[in-house]
Amino acid sequence: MADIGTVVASLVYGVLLGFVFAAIAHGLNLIWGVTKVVNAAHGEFIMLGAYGAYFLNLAWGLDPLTASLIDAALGLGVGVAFYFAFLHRELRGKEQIGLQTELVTLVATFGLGLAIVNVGTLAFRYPVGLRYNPGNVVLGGLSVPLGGVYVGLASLGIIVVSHLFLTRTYLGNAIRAYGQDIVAAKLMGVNPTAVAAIATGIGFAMTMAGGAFLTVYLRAGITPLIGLTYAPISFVIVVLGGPGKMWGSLVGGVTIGVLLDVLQAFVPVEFAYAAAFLFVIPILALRPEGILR
Amino acid sequence: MTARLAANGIVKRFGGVTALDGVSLALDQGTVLGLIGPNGSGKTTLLNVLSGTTRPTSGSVSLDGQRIDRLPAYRVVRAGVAKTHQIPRPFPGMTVRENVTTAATFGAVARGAAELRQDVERVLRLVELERRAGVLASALTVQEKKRLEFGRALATGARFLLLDETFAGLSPDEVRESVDVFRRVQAEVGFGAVVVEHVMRAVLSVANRVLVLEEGRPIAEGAPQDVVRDPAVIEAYLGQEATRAPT
Amino acid sequence: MTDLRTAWFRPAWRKLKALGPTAQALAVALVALAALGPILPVALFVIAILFMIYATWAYSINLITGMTGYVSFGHVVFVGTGGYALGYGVKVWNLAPLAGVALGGLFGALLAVGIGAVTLRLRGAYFAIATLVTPLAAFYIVSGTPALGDGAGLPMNLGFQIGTQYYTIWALLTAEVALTWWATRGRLGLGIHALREDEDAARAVGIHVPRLKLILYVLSGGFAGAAGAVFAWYVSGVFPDTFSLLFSLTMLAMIIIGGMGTVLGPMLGAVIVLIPHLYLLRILPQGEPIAIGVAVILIALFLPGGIVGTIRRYVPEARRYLE
Repeated sequence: MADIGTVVASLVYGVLLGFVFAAIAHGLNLIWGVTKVVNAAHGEFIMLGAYGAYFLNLAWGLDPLTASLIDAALGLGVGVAFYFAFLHRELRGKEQIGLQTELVTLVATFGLGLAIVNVGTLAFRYPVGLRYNPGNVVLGGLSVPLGGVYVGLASLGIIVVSHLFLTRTYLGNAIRAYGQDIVAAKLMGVNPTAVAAIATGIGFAMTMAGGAFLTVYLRAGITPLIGLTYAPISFVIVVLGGPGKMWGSLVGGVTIGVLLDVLQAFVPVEFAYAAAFLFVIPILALRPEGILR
Repeated sequence: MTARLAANGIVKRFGGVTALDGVSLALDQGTVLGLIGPNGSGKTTLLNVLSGTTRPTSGSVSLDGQRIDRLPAYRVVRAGVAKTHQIPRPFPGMTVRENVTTAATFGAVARGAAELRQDVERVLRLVELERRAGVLASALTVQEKKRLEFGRALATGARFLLLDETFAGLSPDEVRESVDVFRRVQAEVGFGAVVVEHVMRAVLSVANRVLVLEEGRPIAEGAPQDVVRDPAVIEAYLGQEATRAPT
Repeated sequence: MTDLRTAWFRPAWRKLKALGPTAQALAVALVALAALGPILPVALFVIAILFMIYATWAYSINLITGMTGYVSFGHVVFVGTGGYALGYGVKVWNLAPLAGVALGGLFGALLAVGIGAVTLRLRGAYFAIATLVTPLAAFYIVSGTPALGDGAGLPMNLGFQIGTQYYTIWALLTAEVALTWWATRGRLGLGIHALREDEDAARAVGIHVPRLKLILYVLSGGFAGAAGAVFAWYVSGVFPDTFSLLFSLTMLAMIIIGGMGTVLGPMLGAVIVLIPHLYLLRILPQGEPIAIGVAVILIALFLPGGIVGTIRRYVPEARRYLE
């Protein structure tokens, strides 16, 4: 059994981890909420973000936070390209996204993910890690790794900034309008293609930045396969918070982060992960709209 | 033996909204009940409750004395009550004949293979879709889709049909045609029906009795001609359509 | 001698002909697999076993995803469960491998009942996500359970029993093909088709939709589990890695490429996925999944019916032959 000190520590670590989880899930949430497309290759772009940070660290000694900015810029371009390559054909001109479109985009993106993962395992036979150790900080008797604090706060920052963007700017509101009612948005002068493409770009930017943040927790274990773990975690987070509900990523992310870390104080790590994953099933059964109202 | 569909004190609440507030009705097989009322009066909700698509918050629905309100929709169909959709939902990748055959196969009446085929052809003839039997449902016109929707409900062999705005979205000529088809089929097959409609002309032509809802409550019931002259009804509709309805 | 053989052969062939060209072709292929078994060189024999295992998996996911459109992203959970059932049965209860296969099928089916009861009421992407997490949870559970070998899995020492393996998986595959063929016909076929076209409209005409979905899911879980057990037998061991999502994706790829919901599709998909597996594996282990990934993208965007579906759509005359 664990003592109260360990539990409190787990809570703190869990919240910080949860913020990063929220950041990596937020991109998926945005794209899903706006275009109704579920990106089955989501994990692979987290992975690319992580590798991006690795290379930037290797070549120029950049820390994950700075690297995340570059990753985000890359993500924007990649996202827009991704939209036109994969989604435009299916979404163009449609005013309602039906089950058939959902299926087609799901399958096409999963093919992409499959291809990317395998190109990755071709290129990287061994796990890599990046050099970044800003040390620890002591908060109220608890020694907290600064790296975790920095990326946690940065992740929180991403979510807050995206909230401000979506609610206070013209483009942000246009994106939200498109997500709610394509026809109405068009009638108000919103260009559906531009909005969907930009939303996808922003989503990918956040995803890749999140991947960069994640490297702090991956230490020496960045492999091409991390997408296969973090994509499901992202899906679980989005479902928990409710797809399209922007604060949902935060709620879901923190829930899973805390669940994982606190459970590990009581049960072996494997069962903590199993429980975190299975948690989504009763939620879907009892409250499919998500935890948030 | 005439079957009887009855609803007693139906209340349906969705969160804070009360869609139905104590509606009761009784319908014998062979009778057509028109269900009218302004938008939001709860007509479609009532059909959904009768068909098992939605469960009532309280109250009961029974068929020949047996409660059916707790049953899922597919069991209600098997019991003998079939509902059509406001916007027709045919099986798009199947032909007209396959659509009707599916309904006949799984509907309220168990039939042998030969009898099933005959019944399918009969339904196709009744709704005047025999010439389009081999066409994919997705290729039909709106009017044809509505006929198919009606035909599918017929094919189940249900003794009571619940028709949700069958005559909506049709031109005046099409409405007249569809009304004729409905009256002919109803006379020949003898089902009971609850017909939700906005098109007054249609309701007055097909209904034996009319029930008027406003904000989930019944405000009038009786013969069509009487109901449309009822001041409460006229007021509910703000007067326009009802007073201009032809006889 | 000749008279005896033709005495049953002709009427059987005639009956088969009446069932249609697809049934004929599949029957011929299956009979050939059975008859040629003893004369195949060992290398090919062993490949044939792997092919039949893959085909069985393809047909199993076809039963749920192909037939109903519910994308079972986590289907590999049944494969792994079947493998672990066999592994545990053989190592701990000293069962014969064949009994292990039956156990694998049973556990696969039971797991499907459990998962299906909760998840089949979810639509579209939600179902996909709910099933997605199951193999992950399973991976962690078996990694952390000492009785199931912890992270090291359950290696077995079963000797070289390829003959029994061959005919066991052949029997499973044949049963599945027959089941799939039957599920596209008659009353059941009509109900499944209606369900796939429009689930709510299907309910409105009296089809018992939840029961149909569950039955299909349980059958698919059972067959995937049984084939998973045969696979564990074939490679003499079962490991947590078996619960790999990559493998779920391969199963889906087989039916996407071949044609979802068709009778020929899974067989075709298995052939197309396995052939590169055998050759590219030598040159470039990642070549095969990359090629599959690209193929899936192209097919999803341009040929949504898979090979069989697309041919049926654009060549109406071929509909009689390709089901």
